Amino acid sequence: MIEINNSSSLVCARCSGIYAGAFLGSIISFFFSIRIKNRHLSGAIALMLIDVLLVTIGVYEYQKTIAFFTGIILGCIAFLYLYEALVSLFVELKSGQKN
Amino acid sequence: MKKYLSALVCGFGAGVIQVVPFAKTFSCCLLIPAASILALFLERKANKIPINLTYPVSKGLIIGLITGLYAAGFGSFFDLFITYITKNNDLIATLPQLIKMISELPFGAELKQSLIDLYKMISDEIETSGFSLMYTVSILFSNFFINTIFGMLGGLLGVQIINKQAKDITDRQE
Repeated sequence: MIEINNSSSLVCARCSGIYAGAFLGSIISFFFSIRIKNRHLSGAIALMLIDVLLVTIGVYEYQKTIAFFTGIILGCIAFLYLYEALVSLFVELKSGQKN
Repeated sequence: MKKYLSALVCGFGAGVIQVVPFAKTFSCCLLIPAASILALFLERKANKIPINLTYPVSKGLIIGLITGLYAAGFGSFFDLFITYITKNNDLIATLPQLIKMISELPFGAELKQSLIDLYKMISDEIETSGFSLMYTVSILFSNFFINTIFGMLGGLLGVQIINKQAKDITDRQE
């Protein structure tokens, strides 16, 4: 968990990163139209998996900063993905109502 | 039932992983979306849908929701069953930290004390009989609430991945 001024977050550093990244992604999507591709999402997932793997096999100890930043990257890209999916869902529902 | 077999398989898998000691540390918010995405891929494979065909987003949402429901059901069942057998769980192990965290919350002293008393009561019930009604209700409620939301998010993500893949293939063919 992340601690700021002796107050800790209620979720782990990685999840905090994912939620912070999703928030960042929502701000980005508000101002810019970014087309995310599958390879971007795969890259973000790979970064996180590599971190988990290296910690698990003992290459380095668990570091909140790395967990947080890999979470931010994945959260941001996943939000932009979700945003596109939500737009498609509304388009689908709207066309369904017309038919 | 057969229609949502992939959701059942992935939901069961996610439910089991939720209670495996090491694996669950990575499961907080990634396991259920991953299970939903896998369920969508399995569903597409089982129905032999060509990879260049796009998938309706609403169907992805429903498969994600059902995967989340199955994961919540199985996860809660295994959690309660293991708690009943071992008379021990994460709540008991992390009770001192939980009490420390509650005392840091910006609530009144009376509310904090009643929360701490409640957790201690749950912990005592689990240690003596392996079952606590309050724990059961809270686990069921939180699992069903959280897993369905994360399941639907995973369903949306999965559909988007499948549709982008289909679009790339169609673009390449043209």
